[in-house]
Amino acid sequence: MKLKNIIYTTLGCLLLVTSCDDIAESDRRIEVQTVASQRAVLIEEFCGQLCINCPDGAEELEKIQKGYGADSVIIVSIHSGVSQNLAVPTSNTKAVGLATDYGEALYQKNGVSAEPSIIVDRNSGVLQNRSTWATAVGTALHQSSSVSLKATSAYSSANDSLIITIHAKSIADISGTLQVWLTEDNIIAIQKLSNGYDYNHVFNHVFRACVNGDGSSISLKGSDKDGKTLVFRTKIDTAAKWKAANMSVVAFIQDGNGVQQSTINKITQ
Amino acid sequence: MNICRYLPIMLCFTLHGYTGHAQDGPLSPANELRLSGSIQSDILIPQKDDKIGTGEYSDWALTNTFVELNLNSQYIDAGARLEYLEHPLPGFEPDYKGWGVPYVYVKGHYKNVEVTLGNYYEQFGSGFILRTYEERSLGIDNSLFGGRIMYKPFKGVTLKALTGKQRRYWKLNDSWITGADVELNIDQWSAAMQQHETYLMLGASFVNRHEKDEDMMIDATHRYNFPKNVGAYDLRARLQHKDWSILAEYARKSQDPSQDNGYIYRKGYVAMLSTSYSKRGLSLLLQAKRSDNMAFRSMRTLPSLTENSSYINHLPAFTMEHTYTLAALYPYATNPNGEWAYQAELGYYFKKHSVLGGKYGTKMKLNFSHIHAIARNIYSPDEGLNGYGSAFWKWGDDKYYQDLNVQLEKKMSQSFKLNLMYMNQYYNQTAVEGHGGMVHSNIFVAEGKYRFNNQFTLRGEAQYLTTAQDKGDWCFGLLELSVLPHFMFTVSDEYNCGETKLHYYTGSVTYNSGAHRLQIGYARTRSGFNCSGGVCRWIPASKGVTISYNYNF
Repeated sequence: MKLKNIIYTTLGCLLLVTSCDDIAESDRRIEVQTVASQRAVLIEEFCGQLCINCPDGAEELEKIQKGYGADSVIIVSIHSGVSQNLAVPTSNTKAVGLATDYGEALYQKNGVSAEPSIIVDRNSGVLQNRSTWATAVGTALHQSSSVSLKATSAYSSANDSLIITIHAKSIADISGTLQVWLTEDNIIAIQKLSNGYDYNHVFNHVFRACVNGDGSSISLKGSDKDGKTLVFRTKIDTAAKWKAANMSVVAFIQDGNGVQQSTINKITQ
Repeated sequence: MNICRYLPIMLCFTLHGYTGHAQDGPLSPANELRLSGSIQSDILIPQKDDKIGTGEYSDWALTNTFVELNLNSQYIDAGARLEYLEHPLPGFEPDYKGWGVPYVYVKGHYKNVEVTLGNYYEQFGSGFILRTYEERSLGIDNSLFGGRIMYKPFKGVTLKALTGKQRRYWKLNDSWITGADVELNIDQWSAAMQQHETYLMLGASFVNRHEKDEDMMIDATHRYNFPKNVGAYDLRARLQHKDWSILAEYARKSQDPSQDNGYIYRKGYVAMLSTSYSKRGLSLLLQAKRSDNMAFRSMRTLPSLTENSSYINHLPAFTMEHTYTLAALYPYATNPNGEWAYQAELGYYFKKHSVLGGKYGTKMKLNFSHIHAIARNIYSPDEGLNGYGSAFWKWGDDKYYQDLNVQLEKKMSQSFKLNLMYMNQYYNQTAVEGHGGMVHSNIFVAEGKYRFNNQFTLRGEAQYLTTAQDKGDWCFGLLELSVLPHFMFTVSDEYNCGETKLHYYTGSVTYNSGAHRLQIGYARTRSGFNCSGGVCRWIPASKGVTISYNYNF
C-alpha cells in the first residue's frame, strides 16, 4: 500500500508539472500603452572592429531605433577596447581604425569589461546582455524631462569649418553639463566576424570627436522662457577622411541623475 | 548575503546538544564531535606581459582562498565555508569578487531520515533537471539555500524533497526552486533478482522554478508574458545484470523563455541511452544523448550573456576529459541549446606473456566521441515565439566535435612504464567559441616514468599537435622529478611552433607533508579554456609567481 501511495503521488506530481504555466501563442505578447515621449534617449554603444559579437549588437540597436524612431533613440558607437584587442585605433596605419583616445578613456572610466555593451542615458549601468537593451531603452523613454534641446549646424566646405548652435531651455531649474559630439555614418572599414573578416563593413553613428572637451557647464532656470544659446566652432577633419555629408552633431545635457535630454542634427552645408 | 548571522546560531545549536554530555564526563564515542575541514589557497603574483596579452593588473597579488570547517556527530552535522575572493585570480566574472561565508548548513540525521537546513548540493538522476555542485576552478557554486529532506521509508525506496533559493556569487537569486525525487530499487524486494545478479532501479523527479514576472520588451509596443512557473520532470531506469548495465533517462522542461534560448516558448527535452559492459580485462561503454533547449537556470535574464552561473541543471559531456596538455587544448563545452552526442569507449587488457601484452601486460583504451547539431527549422516569421521546429532523428548541418583517441599503457621493465596516445580531433571553434571555423588536429603523446629507486622517480612527457588551422602546430615537454617522501620538481614548456612562436613555460617545487601540500612556481600561461564536465571557463593569459597551499584535516 505504501509503495502504491508513493507511485500515485509521484505520477500526480508529474501531471502537475507537465501542465505547469503553459502560455498559449495568442497570450505571449502583452500590448504596452505607448506614451508620447518628451525626450530622446542617448545610447552609448561600446564596440570594436575586432569584436566578433558587435555586429549582432549593432543589429539589435538598429532594431530598437527603428521601433522607436531615430529622433527618439540616439545611438553613438564608441569604438574602444584597444587594450583588450577589441578595437583598431585611428592611429593604425594598415587599416581604417575607428577607436579614439577619447572613446578609450570612456571605456576605462565606465569599467566596460566586455563588448558589445551599452549605457543608456548614463544612468543604466553597463548593460552587456543584449536581451535587456530594448527594455532599458523603453523604460528610459518613459521618463519625463524638463529640458528641451535643439542643435543646428552650418558647414563650410571651403575651409572645413563647422559652426554648431545649441539652444536649450527648461521648465524647471537644472544645472549640469552640455556635451557636444560629432558622429559619422556609412564608414566602410574592416570588421572581424565569427567566420572571418568583412573588409567592407558599413559602420554607422561612429563617434568621431568631442567638440567641447569635458563639457560646458550649463544652468537653466524654469523661469527663463528664452533659454540659452551656445555656439561652438570646430573643424571637420577631412585629412582623417571624415565626410561631412555623412556626419551628425549629437548634443546632450546631463546632471547627477544622468542624461536629461539629447538631440541629433545632421550636418548640412 | 548576510549568512554570517546564521553561523553562530547553528554552531550554538550543534554544541548545546553536547554540553550536557560533556558535563556528565568524557564524551562517549557515539556522541563524539568530529571536526574536519580543508584550506585551499591559490595565489598569483602577476607580471604584465604584452607579448602574451596579460593586460594590466591593479593588485600586486591575486588569490582564491577557501577555508571549510565541518562538525560531525552521531545525529547532527554542521559546517561553513569562508571564501576570500576580494582579489580573485584572472578571468572570473566581475560579480565573483567578494568575501564572506556564503556556505553554511546544519544537518540532522536519525535512523532513515535526514534533514538539511542552509546550503546544500543535490543531484537528481544524471542531473538533467537538477544538479547543484561546486567546481572552484570554473568559479561555479550553484548551491541551494533552504531546506532538504531525505527519507527512506523502507528498503529499496529513497524519497527526497527540497526547496530553496540558488546562490549566484554573493547573492541569492530571487526565484524559488522546489523539487522532489523518488528512487525505487526493485531488486531489494526480490531475492530471486539478487540471486541472479540482476538489479533494477526506477526513478522519477520533478523540479519547479517560481520566478516573478519581468518587464521585457519584444518591440516598441509589446512585452513578453513570462510564465512564472517553469517545471521539469525526469524519468529514468537502470537495469544491471552481471557484467551488463543499461541506463535510459528522459527529461522534459515546460515553456521557459530566457536569454539562453532567445526568449522562445518552445519546451525542452533530453533523452539518453547508455549501456556498459565490464569484466576483468575488458570494458565497453556505448551511449547516445539528444538534448534540445534544456538550459535551465534560476534566472531567466542574467546581467551577462556569457556567465556560467545560475544553472539548475547540468547536461553531461559525452567527450573524454583529457589530462594531457595538448589533448586538452581544444576542449568541448556542452551546448545547452541542443546537440546529438555519441560516445563509445573500449578498454582492454592484453595479458602478461601474450604477444601484445609482453612480459608485464598492456592496457589499451580506445575512445570515440561525436557531437552534432540537431536539425532546426527556424520559424520566420515567428508570430508564436516558438523559435524553431526540430525533427527528432535528423541531424543539423554542423559537426560540433569529434575525437578518436587510442591510449596504450605498458610496463616495459620493473622500473620503466610507458604511456602512448594518439588522437584525431575535430573541434568546431565557431560553435564553441564563436569564431575560427573547424580545427582539425592530430595529437601525439609519449609519457615515460622511470623509478630509479624507492626515493627517486623521473617522469617525462613529449607531446605534439599538428593542425593547419587556428595558431598552427604546438609542442609540449615536461620533466618531473619526485623525491620521496616530500618533494617534487617540475619544469615544462608549451611552444607554439605555428603562428606565434611563443613559449609558455612553468617551473615549480611541490612539498608534501601529511595532509599539507605546498607548491611554489613561476609560470607563463597561455589563454584558453578550462573545462570540467562539459562546462568551460575562459582563462586569460598570465605570468608570474604562483603559490598553492592545500590542507585537509
